Amino acid sequence: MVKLTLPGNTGASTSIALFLTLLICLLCTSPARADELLDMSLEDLLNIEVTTASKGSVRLLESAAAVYVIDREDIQRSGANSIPELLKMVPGMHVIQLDSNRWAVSARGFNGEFANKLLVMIDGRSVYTPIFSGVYWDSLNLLLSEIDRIEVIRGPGAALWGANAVNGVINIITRPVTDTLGTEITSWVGTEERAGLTLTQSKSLDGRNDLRLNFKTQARDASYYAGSAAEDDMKMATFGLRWDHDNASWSGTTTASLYRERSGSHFNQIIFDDDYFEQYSDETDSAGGHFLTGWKHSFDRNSQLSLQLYYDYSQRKQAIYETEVHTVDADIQYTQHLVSGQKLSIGLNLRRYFDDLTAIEYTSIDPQSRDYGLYSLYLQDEIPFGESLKLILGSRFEYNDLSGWEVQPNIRLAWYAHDDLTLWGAISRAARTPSRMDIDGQILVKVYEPGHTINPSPFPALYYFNGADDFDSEEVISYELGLRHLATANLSLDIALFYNDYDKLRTGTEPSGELVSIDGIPTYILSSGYAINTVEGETWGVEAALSWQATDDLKLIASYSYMDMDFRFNGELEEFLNSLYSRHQASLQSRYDISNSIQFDTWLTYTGAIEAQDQDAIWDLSLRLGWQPSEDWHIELIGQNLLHDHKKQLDSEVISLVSTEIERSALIRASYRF
Amino acid sequence: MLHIVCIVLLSAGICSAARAQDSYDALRLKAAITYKVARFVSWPEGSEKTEETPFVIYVLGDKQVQKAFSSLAGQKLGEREITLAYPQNLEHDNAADIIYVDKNFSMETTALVEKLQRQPILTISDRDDFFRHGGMINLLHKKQRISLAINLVAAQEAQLRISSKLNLLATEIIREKN
Repeated sequence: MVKLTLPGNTGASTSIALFLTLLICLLCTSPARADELLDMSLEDLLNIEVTTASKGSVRLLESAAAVYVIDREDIQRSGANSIPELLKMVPGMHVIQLDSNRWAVSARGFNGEFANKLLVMIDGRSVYTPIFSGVYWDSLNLLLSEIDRIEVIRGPGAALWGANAVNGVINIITRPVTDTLGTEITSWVGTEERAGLTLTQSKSLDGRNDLRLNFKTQARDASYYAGSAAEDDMKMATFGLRWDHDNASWSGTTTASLYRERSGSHFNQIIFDDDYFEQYSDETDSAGGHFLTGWKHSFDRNSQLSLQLYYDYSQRKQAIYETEVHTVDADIQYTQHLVSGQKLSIGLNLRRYFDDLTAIEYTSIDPQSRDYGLYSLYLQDEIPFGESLKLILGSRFEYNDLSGWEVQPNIRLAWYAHDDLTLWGAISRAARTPSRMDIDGQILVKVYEPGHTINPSPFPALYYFNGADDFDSEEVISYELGLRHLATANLSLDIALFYNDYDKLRTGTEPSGELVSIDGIPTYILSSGYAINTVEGETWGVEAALSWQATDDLKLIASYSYMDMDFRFNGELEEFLNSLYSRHQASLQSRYDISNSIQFDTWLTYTGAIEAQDQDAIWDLSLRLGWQPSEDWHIELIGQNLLHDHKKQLDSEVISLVSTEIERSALIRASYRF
Repeated sequence: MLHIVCIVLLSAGICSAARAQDSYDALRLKAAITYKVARFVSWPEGSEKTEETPFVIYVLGDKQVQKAFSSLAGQKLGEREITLAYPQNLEHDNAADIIYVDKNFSMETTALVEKLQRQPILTISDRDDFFRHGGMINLLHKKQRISLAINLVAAQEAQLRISSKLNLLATEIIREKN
């Protein structure tokens, strides 16, 4: 394992000094100028490669949902080096880093390492794990250069996207091969993002077939824990390909990937003297791959058929358990435009999981291996009324082997009040189907010391959460209103309001205690609660995003979100598990073109206090200096988490998994295209 | 007219959604090409236009198209400064020097462009049937690049002179009436 950590202060002052020096040098160079395209010759302009955004993507201004699109510019200029970092710019998203590799990400509250109300997809392939209904963010190791855009839809998207799209859907869409023709090599070195190399080779084989091969390897440095370097460094490698085919009647995209990752993490072993915890470091070893092929056929201008098939494999061994999941998924969709202007869509999705789980520490799983399915039919009709109203009615009828039928309807109305102003509203129902752990698992969540308000006994109490066969889906009915306004060609505003009414959320039964003796000596109380669906309550909030091209050279992008909740929790633990959210969050990005070839970008974020964990609010800052000495070269100097030497952002909701402190970091990244 | 067309297009969001929408970068590129092409074109002498008269480009397209073209505003062509307009109605107005029509724009407007024939207005579009409607410059996507096609017949009828240097860069030139 690589273990090289610069002491926080030295790293900080070095990176800041480096920044200032470079900034001063660059500020002395050429002044601001207009659109660089206008300085080029016509001949050169006719030689620039251009792309068209993918067909079927709904234009942002017109969509009747709280959608935020992270596009190529956002990816390039945020300085982010991973997907979760990018999501921080989206209002209403809660994004918190737990250690070098682990993240807690959610939309509209209910965050946590095992957050379970967000659906994440890559090119139509679901990447949430059915084991706990969440996402292993460290395993989303796409190359940033292959991502076309990330569409983040807050609010239920179940009618369209299926189970678990309760509080949001994230669609990561990769770029068509024709957008990346040629070879690109990117490499970086840094204090935390220790080193990395990505290679992309895209080629047009003939007029109809295009192929891209990707390779990425990276090493991440350990973060900071208990006064010294943590042991959560990481190494990974991934290989991917994409083949696009287009002929007169069908167009198809086939992707495949393989990855392997090893990372460290800290783990709490429970012991029965002093403070009950003993730290040790553990290794997480994960591997996986996928194969996906999707085909589209247009019968005529008005009707289209899409077919998609994928297989996904993932394997992960970590301190608490070892999991192996095979997923097979088939999806068929047919869209018909009617003369009346309506657009009818019908789809069928069949998915089956095959898993094999081995309990390791403080967990147990029975049965160890299971296969289960998720089958659904969806219908949607978009109906234009008059000249400026559009009604969207849709529903998904879903059957899953773990909890039976779910009907997830939604109704949306868009009013195009003006050609640059859209008002929309939606009412939708979505369900979070039980995860494997909810039904068959057992996991240690918390340890209560003797004398704690919850545990008046003289023994420590270990609270285990147990799955239950009759655990049902969690439900939400969501009411949303939104406004999208292109105030001028340079200023756009997006505001969304939501009120979510949750029912049947997960909690544990009143724990039953049992005194456990070790070597004949009474040692601890084994306290067991079983999964039941009795929590209910409401959340509400507002999310706003503003994008302003202030001058030719300066763009400002701001977002703010507020949310709160009203739940009648039955006890401290229940509240703790459901209340990981910040009331206020904000992000402000400025993107400044110092000259034709030099960019200076800043990104300030605010994550409000998380009261359930007594976690203070966190301000943070990223800076990026981009330099393009020629068309082929791109060099960036990036500083992240600049306002703290090192800081813990959140604890996991599972007591045995330890969060570390995230350090200030700097990295230099260079790309060469030819 | 234009207004109604916009609303219809928006309310039938399906139309725009189903159509391939150009990326913003592609639109910016087309705006820059429009600007460069204008430098190779001479407008007939004798009109009342002087150095003080703004050079007017009508942009017929949605907000994204308008935004892509906005960088042209204030640029100079010869001594004349470019002014952009996004008109609601073309019928009684021929103050433009260039009219750019986005491919997602309505047929009705293309018919208007047909009406403009013989007026000294350079018409540019990325629609693939633009020449059939009497358009002069067509910007088409070919091999991930934008190619330039020129309808010299339509240009000559409108008394516009197109430099042979521009012809050298074109991938297609129409020299005779079909």
